[in-house]
Amino acid sequence: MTALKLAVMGAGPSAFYTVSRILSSLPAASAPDLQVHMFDRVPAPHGLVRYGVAPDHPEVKNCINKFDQTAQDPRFTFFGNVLVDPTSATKQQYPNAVPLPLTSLFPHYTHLLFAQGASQPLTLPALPEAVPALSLVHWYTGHPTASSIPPIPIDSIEHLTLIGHGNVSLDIARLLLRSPASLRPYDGLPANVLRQLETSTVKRVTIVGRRAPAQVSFTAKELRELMSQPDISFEPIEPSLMNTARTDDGLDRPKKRILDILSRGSKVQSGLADKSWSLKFLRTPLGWRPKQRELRLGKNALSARGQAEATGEEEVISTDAVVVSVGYRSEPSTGLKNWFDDATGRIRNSNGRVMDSLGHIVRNVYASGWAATGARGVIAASMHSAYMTADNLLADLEVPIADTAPSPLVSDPSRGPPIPIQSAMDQVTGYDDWQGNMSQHS
Amino acid sequence: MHALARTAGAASRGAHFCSPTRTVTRCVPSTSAPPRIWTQHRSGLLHSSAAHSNPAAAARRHAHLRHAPARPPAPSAPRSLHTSAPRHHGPLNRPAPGTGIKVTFQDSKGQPIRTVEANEGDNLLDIAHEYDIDLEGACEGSVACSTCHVILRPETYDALPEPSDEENDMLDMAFGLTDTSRLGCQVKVTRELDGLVATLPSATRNMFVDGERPLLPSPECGRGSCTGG
Repeated sequence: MTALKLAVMGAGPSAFYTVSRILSSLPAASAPDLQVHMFDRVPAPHGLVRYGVAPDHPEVKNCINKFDQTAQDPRFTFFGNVLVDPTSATKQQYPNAVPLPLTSLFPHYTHLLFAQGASQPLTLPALPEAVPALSLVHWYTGHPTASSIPPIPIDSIEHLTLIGHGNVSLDIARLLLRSPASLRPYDGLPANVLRQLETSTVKRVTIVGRRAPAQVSFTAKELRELMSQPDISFEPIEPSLMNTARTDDGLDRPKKRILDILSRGSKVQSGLADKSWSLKFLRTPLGWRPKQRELRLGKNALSARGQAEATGEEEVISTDAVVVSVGYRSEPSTGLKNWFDDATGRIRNSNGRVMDSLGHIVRNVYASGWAATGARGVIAASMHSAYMTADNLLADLEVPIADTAPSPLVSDPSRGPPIPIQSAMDQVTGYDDWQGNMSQHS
Repeated sequence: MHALARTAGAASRGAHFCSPTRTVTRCVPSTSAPPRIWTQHRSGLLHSSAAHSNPAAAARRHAHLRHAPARPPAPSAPRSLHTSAPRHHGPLNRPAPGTGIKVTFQDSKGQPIRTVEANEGDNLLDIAHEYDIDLEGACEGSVACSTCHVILRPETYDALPEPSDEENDMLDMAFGLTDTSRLGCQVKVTRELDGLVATLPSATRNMFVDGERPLLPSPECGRGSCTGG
């Protein structure tokens, strides 16, 4: 069996699930010299579980307990506040993180795992002045790069429009429309955010999507939750749109259940609540004039293949702010060049084995989670991706893949973490820093 | 294991670098003062601030960060701010052999993993964990994920109360959903279910090859932070 000293880029669910599988499959008794070093550019571990999951969904964060167990393994070390493979953009975003060129890892590790997720929001060129949803997510989760004030002036606007029919849009709508009193019990909500939400004047949220009710990306749980809020009403969807959606033969069980929830609408009847939200279908944003508060939308029709096709018709709606939430891609970086697929925005791989631009598997280099699959799916999906990658890595330890591209890694790695880390340990955070800090505030 | 043994030297040579406790405090220190400090807010998260220019204060704050206090001793205190109290109740009491309700776990190919005994009211997730059966429970029984998905026999499924809307919402995101799928955390065993067989769906699968469309659980939520949040 080949030696294993693994460097992991990222400390979110895909990183931890991959590592937990590897460590539990190779117990210390049989692999005492195995080492895992996990790097993250923010000081605290757990990635989107900490800085993505909405603060009013604490139960989703219970997976941290498993990550904590994994981190207890003496063969595991977390290095927070380390920016691996920096670019000028990420250096600007994380000026205090220790920059670590990817090449500096090579002499120190036998294996690499890319599990840094997909942190670059997709943008809409037609809406250069719209705010990316990620800014709001960072604000309400207390991300280290977040501004301490809300990215949109929630204390002076009434009508917010979100672009994108995904769960992030529903999270933002829910957090902005819920009564602040109902959010108070959630300790994960930063104090400044709670105070700011108490001054919010947002009364109405419209969520715009290119396609129709059968093509939404959000999930039943988030939709049901918003529909069940005691003081938020949902503006019913035009019956013709719902009827058309139901005629689609390809509807699976989840989609059918989502359509049912959409048809039933909110617990509070439309018009009877102070706050409301609505979904707008078959619209593509064409332009946003913030001063005039005018959002120009192109009307679409759905093609036979379920794609949005412009009809040429337009409408203008009045709205006070526009936030875009249309997906994410992984960040390209210098060291990744041959392994990053710019077209898909993820690391080129085959079942977690990283491939070069010619499609050859690069020996001992792996990827899991959103960095490997693209930004889709819940934690369970990242877990499956992580386990697949881990199983393939473990299999390759036993029987190395024969025909691979040369690996930049070594079989007899130098001790410790890479040199730039060794000389900047006072800036690096460890795993236990976080457990203590969090308990202190509980 | 030869090669692994060969790195033993390298690993033990590296061991001086950080102590086994893995706290940064005990790692090789650097002489330079940190250029910035981290301030905390209510949730225990950090904000960096370049505005603090007093190096002594910065060092003090930094030290505070390093020397994280021990966990509060009160057993009722939440483990951390970021998780909710698990609803399942930890280790189960195993029934005396021969007196419990028999539950068989089998893998996705129908190969038995283990037959165990449980008490009335125990749920399948807790039972699996009690007997070290590899069933995930990412949200620890709070119906916020689909990782404890099990497939039951039709007669067992029919004998159980209907799943709640919330459970069905999670099952919608389970891999390999079937008509007799349930969340293990929501299935409480009863005497009538003695002999129950729970099939664990395949833990991993080769999901996609690059260039092809990924096969992911439906619906693909396509969200930025759609990690169940």
